[in-house]
Amino acid sequence: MESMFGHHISAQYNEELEDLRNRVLNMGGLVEQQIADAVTALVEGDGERCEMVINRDVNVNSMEVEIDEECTRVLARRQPAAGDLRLIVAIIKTITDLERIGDQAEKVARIGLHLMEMERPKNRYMEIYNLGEHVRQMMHHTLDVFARLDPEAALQVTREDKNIDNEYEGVMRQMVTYMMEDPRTIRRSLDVMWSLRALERIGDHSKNICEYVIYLVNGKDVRHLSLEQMESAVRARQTRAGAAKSP
Amino acid sequence: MTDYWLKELRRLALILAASLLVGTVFELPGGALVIGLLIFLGWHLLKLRHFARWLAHGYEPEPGFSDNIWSELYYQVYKLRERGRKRERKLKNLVERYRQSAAAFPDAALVLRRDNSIEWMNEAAATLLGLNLVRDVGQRVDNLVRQPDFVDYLQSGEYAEPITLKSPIDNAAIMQIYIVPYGDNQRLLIARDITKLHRLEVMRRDFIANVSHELSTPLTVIGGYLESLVGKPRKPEQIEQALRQMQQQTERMRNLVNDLLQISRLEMNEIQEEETDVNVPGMLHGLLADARMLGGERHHEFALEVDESVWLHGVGQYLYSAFANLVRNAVQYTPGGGRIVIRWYAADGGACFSVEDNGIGIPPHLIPRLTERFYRVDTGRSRSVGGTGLGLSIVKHVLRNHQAVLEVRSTPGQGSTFLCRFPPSRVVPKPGGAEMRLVK
Repeated sequence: MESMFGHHISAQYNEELEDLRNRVLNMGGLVEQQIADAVTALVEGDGERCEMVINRDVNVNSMEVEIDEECTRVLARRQPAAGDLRLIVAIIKTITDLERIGDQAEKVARIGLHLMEMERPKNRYMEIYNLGEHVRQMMHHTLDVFARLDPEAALQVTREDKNIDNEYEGVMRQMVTYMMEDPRTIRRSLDVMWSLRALERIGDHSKNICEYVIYLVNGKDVRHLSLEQMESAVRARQTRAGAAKSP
Repeated sequence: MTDYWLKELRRLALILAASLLVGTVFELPGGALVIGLLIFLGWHLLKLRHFARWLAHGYEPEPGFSDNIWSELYYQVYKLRERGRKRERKLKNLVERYRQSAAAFPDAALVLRRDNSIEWMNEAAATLLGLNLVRDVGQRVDNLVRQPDFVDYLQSGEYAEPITLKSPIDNAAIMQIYIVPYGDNQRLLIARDITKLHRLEVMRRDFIANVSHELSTPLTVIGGYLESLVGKPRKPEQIEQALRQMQQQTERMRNLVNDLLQISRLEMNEIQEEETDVNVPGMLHGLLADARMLGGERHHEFALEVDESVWLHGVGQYLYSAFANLVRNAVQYTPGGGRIVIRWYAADGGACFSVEDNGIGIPPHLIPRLTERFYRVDTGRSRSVGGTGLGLSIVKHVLRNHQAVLEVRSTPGQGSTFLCRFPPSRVVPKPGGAEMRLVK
């Protein structure tokens, strides 16, 4: 990775950029842990762990503020251009999404506390566990993409989001069936649906982060594009880069 | 002084003598001597040039051997180089072998630089930590393994104790990470998958909790009755009733303890019992009668399909308890009027015992856990029918001791089939049976 940011004469500048990247990934690690803990706490009906997740969200928020400040400082002092500027912009956007993911995890934990007061269903919230695990893995891959700055992998993760959306649709339909079968479960099912919704939103935020990585590496804004358009944008850039290198 | 030097000196002397001779003939001894020495010097300079060229061109071509000091020089240098080459090859082999063994190391190993970037990793690191063998070298490890606990541990610099984490790629796997500082600010990170160990620990804890619970329940009941009997006059019927309850509870405890003893014997592989040829068909007829009695008034429909010619080499007592456990389960988990089929037949050279019922069945994801000690699919129900929670565990151990395997097929609501497959080595023909007659 030295090649990405290691080209400045000022060693201090290199270090600042590298440090920013590390802090984003640390924040990501914490957020990923929050998702895993929130889902486990909800599924196992572990009130203490729910509280812990809720309390730890403060750390995520303060990390966002710190990184934001650091970015502003670098912008003001170094006035970065080209790749460095894109890095700063991508980081500022990424931490916003990470913070929102943290909020969604907190929401899942709060619903977990709420669900503890109700009777547990036979399937032990299997649908939440499955979707949660799926989302956590997507989050993990997203952070890998950010660490490795790998646009190809970013495309793959974006595709994963489609699967998560489909799974969400399926589970939602299932919940509706439950509620029609036995209206007494409506209260609980609504809570379950809210937590599923929160998890699905995490998938969308992860996808956004992948788009920022593509922007950072290829200099191409791929938001609001279809998957095919995104792919061709990434590929075109790569072939051009390959052609430039080959002679 | 070796031959070469003597020869060389002799050659010099010869040249001096010859030039002196020629010099005296032509009456110019000084000039002839100078010319002679110049020839000698020129020849050696030529040789020296060859030698320098030979060294510069990487010892090529192979020197030819003749008997002057130059070839001696060639020879010595050549020998030195050969020795160097041999040592180099040996070292290369050693390094290669070391790298191979480190790469084949079953635990993940990473070498970290001072800034936590990865200098080297083995294949296990790639699979266990989800890293890329080629591309992630040079990346900071805390950018890729991002659990906050790990990052704190890495930055703390306190590596006396290992840290236990969930695997970054598989939430169900658990791993332990050691960091060992060495050399010049380098650190070796070792990660090991301890999922199995962890599961064993949990199982042991559960086992102790379960045993104590199972043993204390009947004791509580007995204690309660005793308390109500002490010091108060009671009618004989009441005493009778209490005693009967207490008898039932002691019976339950005895079953439990017997099962535990049997399991521990089986686990320690202490088959002191003689292995004999067991008349399985005969045993199954007896089992059927027991099962009818156990079913009592629930009127199960039993069917027995037995190949009378197949016997088994093994420990009769253990086989009986395994088969009896399977049949008892079928009776207990099949509602009244259900159908239970017991089969004994030869298959693929080996033999199979199966019990099929159309009872309540088992959810598929719970099947792998059935043979765990005290594992119950439905706790309340199992206890109410008087199970100890050890039956299938005993079956598993008996089968293992007979090199057999247990297969379970089940559909909830439709019934289950428990199948024991015995290997060909265990099967013996019925004494005096069909095969024997064929031989005659």
